[in-house]
Amino acid sequence: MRKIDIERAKKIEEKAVVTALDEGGYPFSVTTDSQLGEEGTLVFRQPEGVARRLRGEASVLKSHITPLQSGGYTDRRYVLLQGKVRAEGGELTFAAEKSWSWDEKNVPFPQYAEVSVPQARRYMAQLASKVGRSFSPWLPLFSRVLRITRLPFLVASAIPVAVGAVAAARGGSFSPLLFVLTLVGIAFAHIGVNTANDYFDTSLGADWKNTKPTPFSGGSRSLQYNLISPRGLAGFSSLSFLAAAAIGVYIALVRGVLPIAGFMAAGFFFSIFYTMPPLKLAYRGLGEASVILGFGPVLVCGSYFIQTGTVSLPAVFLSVPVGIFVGLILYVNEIPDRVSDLESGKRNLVARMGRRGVLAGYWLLVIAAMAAVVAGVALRLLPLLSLVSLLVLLHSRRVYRAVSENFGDQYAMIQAMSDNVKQFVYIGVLLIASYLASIALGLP
Amino acid sequence: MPRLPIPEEYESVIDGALVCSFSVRKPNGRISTHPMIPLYDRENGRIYVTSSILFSKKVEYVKRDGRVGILFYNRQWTGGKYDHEVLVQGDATVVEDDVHRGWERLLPIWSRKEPYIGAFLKQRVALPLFWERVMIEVRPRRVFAWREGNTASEPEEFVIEQ
Repeated sequence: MRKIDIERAKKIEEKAVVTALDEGGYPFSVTTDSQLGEEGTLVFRQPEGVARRLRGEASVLKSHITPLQSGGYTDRRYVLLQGKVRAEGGELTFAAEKSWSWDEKNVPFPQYAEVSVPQARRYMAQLASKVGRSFSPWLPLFSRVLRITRLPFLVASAIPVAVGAVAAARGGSFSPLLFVLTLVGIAFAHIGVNTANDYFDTSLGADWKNTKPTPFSGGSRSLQYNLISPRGLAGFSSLSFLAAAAIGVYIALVRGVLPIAGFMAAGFFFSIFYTMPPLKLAYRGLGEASVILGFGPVLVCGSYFIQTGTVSLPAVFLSVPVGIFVGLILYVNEIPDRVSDLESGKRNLVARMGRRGVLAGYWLLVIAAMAAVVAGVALRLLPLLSLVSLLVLLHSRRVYRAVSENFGDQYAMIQAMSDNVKQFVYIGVLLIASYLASIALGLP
Repeated sequence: MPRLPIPEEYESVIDGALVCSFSVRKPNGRISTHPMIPLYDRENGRIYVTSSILFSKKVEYVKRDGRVGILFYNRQWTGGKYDHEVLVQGDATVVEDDVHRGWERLLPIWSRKEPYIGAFLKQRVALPLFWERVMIEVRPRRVFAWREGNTASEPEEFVIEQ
């Protein structure tokens, strides 16, 4: 008997629903008041009209909802007890043998749904064998692609490309065609990274262990939800990389084979070995550095090179804040996954550090990024107007506060993670705008 | 079959209920009871519940044994008009021909109870498995009603002709 669930049942004020099987084998239910009896049993005032029907195997359900005036309800919780009921001195005594409970305050619905995914997969497998073909949840094509590719995150690669291009434009070099080709090529590469990441995090167990994914963490869940097969995802990833490589080859032929091949090799190395064995950079505390390098120097300087045919010190300086702020997206998004990452051996920086270390690391990265901007301006490598990007610090405080207050609470951190992505977009847009304004106004 | 041949006020309890307790028989002889949203189709006198495949154990139980019991109780949850407690016993069948969208024909009834459900459905991409739903169609066989929720008395009993 699990006394704790009896106690939990007592905390729900609503009447208990007692159900037993009637003579025809149908469940017969009725509500009744209940009180805690000896040895953790539940004792019911025997409903005279129906007492004869409540015998033997029985269930007791105590549930609660709070109806909303606008329709619907909230505050769901229930306890289900299974056991046997017997009549004793004008009362019914129920002895529980098994129990289930759910309280959405303790286990939010998204988590409740996530831990139930194995049941859904079993059901899908049954349906598949019934109809003789694979079964996948229905989604409109665009929504499915959006989910599998994590398309909105492509902003993290588009901005570095744009930053590199405006830096080149400030020096007088800009080809719209090459810019568009770079954007498209990098988008394919980024989709390849995202899907490869899901493939390897699933095959290595990390995404299975994570039962509290959010829109910003825990991967796309495309494999967990059967939106695509592992083979399909691997193929999708490979095709994306191939498309990126094809565009890269064209650009290499236009801009110089060796340097472009170098950038492509570096990008491919950081993206594919981020989760792929044997290196598994993300599993060894090197994932953050590889993201900073990949989305910073490789993308910004690569984009700059494609436009100018050279790499300059200003481009290198500019790549530092961009790379760091993309790295911060990963860094903050890793916080909700800390526990499941550790369980699956994904020992990234956040998983290795305690709360204080993680929070200190956040400021360290922000300050390093801003210091690079200030130093770049002081050394006359970046335009004076790029100092407006320091305004992001105001937003950084907000992100820090949200992360600090909700640290470890996956769902409460969603707003912090969203604000953190915005932080990156803000600094990207401010840097791009400052370059464009400097070009337009002829400012140093 | 037309609407249920029971007094309107009992039918109103069934129709207005936000939640019911839905009981099914497990293969091991135990009873599984869960709070669920009942969807009463007045046109054909059937009661439907839909279950996401995420929480589909009960569906598997119904497939093995379709004898179910649905209890409507608590005035706050049953439309606020009556205190009556109503139990419907019936035979359930699982409708899983189109778990993607087949259940959407019940959306008008569901929306009356949860007006925001349509907006949630538009966010299908966020919880795709939740919207893969199996319909459980219950054909009532007997209805028991306790006037004013007085379960100390014998319930009124209505046998539903098939």
